Amino acid sequence: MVAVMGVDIMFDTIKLNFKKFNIAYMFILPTLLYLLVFQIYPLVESVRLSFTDLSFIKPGSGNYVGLENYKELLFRDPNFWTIVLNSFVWVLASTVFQYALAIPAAVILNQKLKLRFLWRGLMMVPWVTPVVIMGLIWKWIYDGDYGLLNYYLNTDIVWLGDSTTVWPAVLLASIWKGLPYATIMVLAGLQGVPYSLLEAAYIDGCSKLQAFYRVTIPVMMPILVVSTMISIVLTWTKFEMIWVLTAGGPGVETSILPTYIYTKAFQNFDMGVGSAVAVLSMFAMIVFVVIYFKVLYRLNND
Amino acid sequence: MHRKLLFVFLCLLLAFSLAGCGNSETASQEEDHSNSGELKANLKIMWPGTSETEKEVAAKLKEKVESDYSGINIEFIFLSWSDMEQKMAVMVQSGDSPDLMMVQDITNPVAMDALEPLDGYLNDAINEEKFIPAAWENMQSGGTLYAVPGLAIIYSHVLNTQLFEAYGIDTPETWDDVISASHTLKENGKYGYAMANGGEGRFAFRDFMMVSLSNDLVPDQVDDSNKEKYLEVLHFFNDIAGDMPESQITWEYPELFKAWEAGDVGIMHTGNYFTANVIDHGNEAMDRTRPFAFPAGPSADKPQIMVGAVGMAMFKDSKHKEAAWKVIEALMSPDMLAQWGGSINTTAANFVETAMLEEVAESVYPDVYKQHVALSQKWSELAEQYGVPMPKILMQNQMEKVVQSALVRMLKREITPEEAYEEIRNGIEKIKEN
Repeated sequence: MVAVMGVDIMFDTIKLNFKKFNIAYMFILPTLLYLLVFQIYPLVESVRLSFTDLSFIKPGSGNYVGLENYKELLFRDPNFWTIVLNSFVWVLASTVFQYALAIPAAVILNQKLKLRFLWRGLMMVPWVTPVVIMGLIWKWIYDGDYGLLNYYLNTDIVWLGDSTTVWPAVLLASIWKGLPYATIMVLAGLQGVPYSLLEAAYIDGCSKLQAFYRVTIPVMMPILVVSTMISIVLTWTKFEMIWVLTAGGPGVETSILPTYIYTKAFQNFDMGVGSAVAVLSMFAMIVFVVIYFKVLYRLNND
Repeated sequence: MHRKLLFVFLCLLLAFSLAGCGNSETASQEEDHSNSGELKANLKIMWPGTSETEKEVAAKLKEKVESDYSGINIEFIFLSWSDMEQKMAVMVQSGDSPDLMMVQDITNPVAMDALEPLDGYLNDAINEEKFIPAAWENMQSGGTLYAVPGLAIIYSHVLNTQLFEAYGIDTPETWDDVISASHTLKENGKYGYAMANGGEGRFAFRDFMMVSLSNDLVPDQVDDSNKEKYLEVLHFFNDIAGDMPESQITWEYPELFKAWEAGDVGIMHTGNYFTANVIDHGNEAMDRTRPFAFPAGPSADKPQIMVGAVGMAMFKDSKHKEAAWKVIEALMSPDMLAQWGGSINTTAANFVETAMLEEVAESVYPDVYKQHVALSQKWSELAEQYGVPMPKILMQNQMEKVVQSALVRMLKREITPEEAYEEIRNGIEKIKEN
């Protein structure tokens, strides 16, 4: 009896709240529906497919195979672990170098320069240029026979074909593309640092460099944490740049998880294994993000 | 009151926005005939639309069909060749098949059970006798026709006549001649042979397949009985590895054709799509390019020229098969085939007059149309003499990566031909097992 009354009260409360906030719920509804249809449903479907042998070129496939796709990838696929390692190198190196360059760039753009708006605008060019166009331009720059880079350096290096140069070359293109975003984020952070704090630091005898490390960076830390996190996630799922430059090749030398998902699912039409790669990629990213936040949290507390 | 109005407005907005998510098939599921007996249909056609030339042919087809059958509306889905199969697979799986699609290789769509057998539709205007046999056969699987060939793609190697003449080299008649010519060119500061080994492996595999065919071998035949032939092919490439550009490891067709136009390469593979590809980089190469049949290898008796086709296929799930066939008939009419074949390469039909093709070629390639026509004729002669249907290899795109990877490592001297063979064999056997 008491339980029934409890349920009644709960429904009454929901009803009352809905009446009170119905307009607000209606505002949320389109986004909620969008998320359900275009994010949650594909995610659930992808997890489901990863337990099947669905192949577009095998009529009658799509049967439940348990963990077979995962076993295949984790224990029998000779390329999988190389690709996972490539993905981490790709993400970490891209993000670290982007921010290592973005911080001095933002500091310069934060000065009272002549034509500052122009320099800030020019900084955005790589960001607003479509990735595929940029990839093709970089590909021509790197060409071993007719490329601009070899022409100016007077070398004959096959930048995208040599295992020692292919990763630096691909990373340079990726860093160049991602630098504006990182710079904007750091610039926004710099503009939020109260001048009174810096002034107090100078009065206490700090040099400009000391003030930067002891005042500016700690104040900017929340922005840096969030924006590097976004950069990491964006780079993890970034597909086009590598695809245009090397298509993940030669072989799988420059393959990363997104290119592997594409190859498995949309070139080999093996949706089961492709979905399993996608699910593993998602879990790897979740674990990575959790570790990242824990380390940063510990560093902040220290 | 305002709140209620806003509520109603939001509900309407939501309803309209969700209406866009509905199945677009509603319109195309109309009956094929109106009350007056007129054929009515909205057709979706997947078409390779990466160049203006291809789009122009599509526009002409639409104009022709819609003037002949006012009830038929055509909507083109323009995609690159490499994206078309992916898009098709997704559309078929989601029950949203287009009605027609241009195909180069029917192997995967047939394996998906997506295509309509066309033998029952053939008539006096469209039948086997009217088309080049190798092209017709290319559109068949298990003796059933799944697409009507419109263009014949004749693949062959070409040589740079200017370089061959300058260094006194004759047209190669054996593999040893090719190797010797390649070495001579390299000694004189040129590249003896060039491949496009970058990208997804498609062009590297094509080159490998053409040389393999000349040794009576199809690249997926990796069993013991073909090991010797396989090794002969790999050793051939290994022998000329030093004569090739190092940067070809990153090249796709644009880079390969650029090098060809620059006059730096002695031999490369291409096909009768040569003009459309090289013209983007200039037209000087048109005067110094000669197609030739790649010589027979040690295990073969005669050269083989691979003949593929581009055809129009109909989907099994199309709701408008009668109207779709009318479109195929319109595309296979002499004027449309002349437009299509004259502007891209060679028609697969034998009833199109050469004069019509030349007229179209002149309008598309005004500066080099004579050279284009001469090259096309040479390719047709080669196909007549040595033509064989392009091998159909199930899951070829997976094998392309395997062959590309091993070939590239071998050409970089990282592995021997024997190791490359083992790598290719293991990779291909694994793909076949799956």
